[in-house]
Amino acid sequence: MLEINDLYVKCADEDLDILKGFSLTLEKGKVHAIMGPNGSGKSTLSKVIAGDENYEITSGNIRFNGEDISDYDATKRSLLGLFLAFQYPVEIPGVNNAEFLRMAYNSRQKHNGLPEADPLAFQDILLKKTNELNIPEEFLDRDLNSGFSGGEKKRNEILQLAVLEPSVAILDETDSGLDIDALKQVSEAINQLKNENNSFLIITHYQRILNYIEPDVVHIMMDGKIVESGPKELAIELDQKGYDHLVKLKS
Amino acid sequence: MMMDQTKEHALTDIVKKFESAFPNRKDEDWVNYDLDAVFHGTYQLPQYVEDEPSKRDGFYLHFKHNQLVSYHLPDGASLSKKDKHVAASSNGLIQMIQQSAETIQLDISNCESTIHIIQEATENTFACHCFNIVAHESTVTFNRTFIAPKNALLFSYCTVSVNNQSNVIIHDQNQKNDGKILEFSKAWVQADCHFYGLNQSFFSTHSRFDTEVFIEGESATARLHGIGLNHPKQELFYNTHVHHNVANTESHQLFKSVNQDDALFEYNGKVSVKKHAQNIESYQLNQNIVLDEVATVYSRPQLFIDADDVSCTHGSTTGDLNQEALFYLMSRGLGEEESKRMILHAFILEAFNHPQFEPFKPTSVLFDFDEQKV
Repeated sequence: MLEINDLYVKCADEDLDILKGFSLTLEKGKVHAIMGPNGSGKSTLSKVIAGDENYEITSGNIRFNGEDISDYDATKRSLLGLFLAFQYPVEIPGVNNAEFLRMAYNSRQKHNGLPEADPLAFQDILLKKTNELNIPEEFLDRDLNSGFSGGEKKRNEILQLAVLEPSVAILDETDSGLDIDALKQVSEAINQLKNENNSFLIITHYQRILNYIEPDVVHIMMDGKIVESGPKELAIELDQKGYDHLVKLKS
Repeated sequence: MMMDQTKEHALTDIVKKFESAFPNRKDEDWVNYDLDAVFHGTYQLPQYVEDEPSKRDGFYLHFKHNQLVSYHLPDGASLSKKDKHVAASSNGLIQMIQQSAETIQLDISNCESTIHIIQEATENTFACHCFNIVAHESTVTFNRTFIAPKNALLFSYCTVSVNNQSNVIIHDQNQKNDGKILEFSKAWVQADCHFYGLNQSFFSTHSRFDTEVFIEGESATARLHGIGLNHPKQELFYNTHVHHNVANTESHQLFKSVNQDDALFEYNGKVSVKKHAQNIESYQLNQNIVLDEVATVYSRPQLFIDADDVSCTHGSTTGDLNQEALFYLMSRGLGEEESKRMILHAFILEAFNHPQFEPFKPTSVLFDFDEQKV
């Protein structure tokens, strides 16, 4: 579904490689987790996949359902079915959350040749989603992420994910800043959205989110590339021994 | 169209009478404002016109040329004409306006109403409007519309006295004026009174708005918001000064602008707190978006505080569209242009984020930037 082949990436305005030969294949219906220490390039990876123009692919490519999307902008990638849940969702005061969601939803409907939803019809869709995900309806009346707590922002990302129903979702440190209850709620929502037709790439520092969302494969990322992959037990081992242990082993 | 030489000199002759008292650039602290350039034009002296019949609904005052030409007022509001009494002032511009125009006094008592004020100059002329508003136990909204067509020069001087639990809201609309506008407002706000000023200047060639507020009584507040949108080569100047003269008072200032190629925006905002005026809260923010590399923005939010128990903040930001927000919206499938307009729209609407200003929110999302590349 998503293939990343020997990807080298640098910041657009700096001559510094961040991803250095990163490769990954994400199959339909699977959950992959990427763990790694600070500065290993995890967040850069998520933004590059989503089409952030602050980064430049110098070599390698990203393929989505067989199509090379490396040169596509963020809009086109999203319309094809990619979704990034941001580590730090951006606050945009003045943009109503529900209206924004309707515009994003209709943009996708239009792209897929499906009928767009009027505000009334979309309200029904939204209320169904908020009920299913146990997200307060008052989220809808507020401005996009504006004044939201850290936990609320992450839950709002999951609501967007639920509305847009992407085929590949990248969750960039969705667990960071969440207390135990919020982590549980967010994880349950993600588990509800998982199905055999979509895939999830969970980027995290910690093993704890993987207690709730079971990954099929865990990858360890260091210095811009994957250095080890294995079953979910790899995350538990990493949690017990730490990244330093791995660094020593590798060296 | 060129005026003949006699008419062309009319304004400069008037200006000369006040030359000694005119503000100079140093007095005013402007960096980019050029008073000489404003006066350098081919303006005719305005003609006296007979009262015009009312063609408007609701309550209103209609100023045209140098006079009030028609009006319709609610119960509790009364008009009187003042003699041409020029108050001692260091500002020669204001002296000139006071002497050129008839001064109207509007007394408002026990009144809750909305009154439209139309301030109109006609093509190739200059006009001076001068009026005083005195409010007692009233809540009044003034919707003020400026009309300054091509090669017109519109001067305005307005004083507002807010007394006895009154709320006065002044909402200025300066939209697509090709002429030049110089507006001076002074407000005195007494105890338990509130003064609100909102200025919308959209796509006008050259405008300057000076607002000075004196907070004179405890528990009084002042809120000044302004939003300016400039197409290429348009110029907008905001000058504000809020004086906290007594303790336990509050003021807010939020001025924003969006500027395209070669546009010029300048904000000079001041807050002064007197020594005995303790327990003051004051917030002052100027935010600007520059859509092209060659637009000019000059921003100077300043605090002058002599008291020690105050909470005052000021800040200023100028930059292009928020790229993080742009990426965020695009990553949800919205197109680049649509995302940019959404960010602009959100930025502009923040100027209306107060219950008193909500009714004035513009409905157009595109704000006429759609004809240009954002």
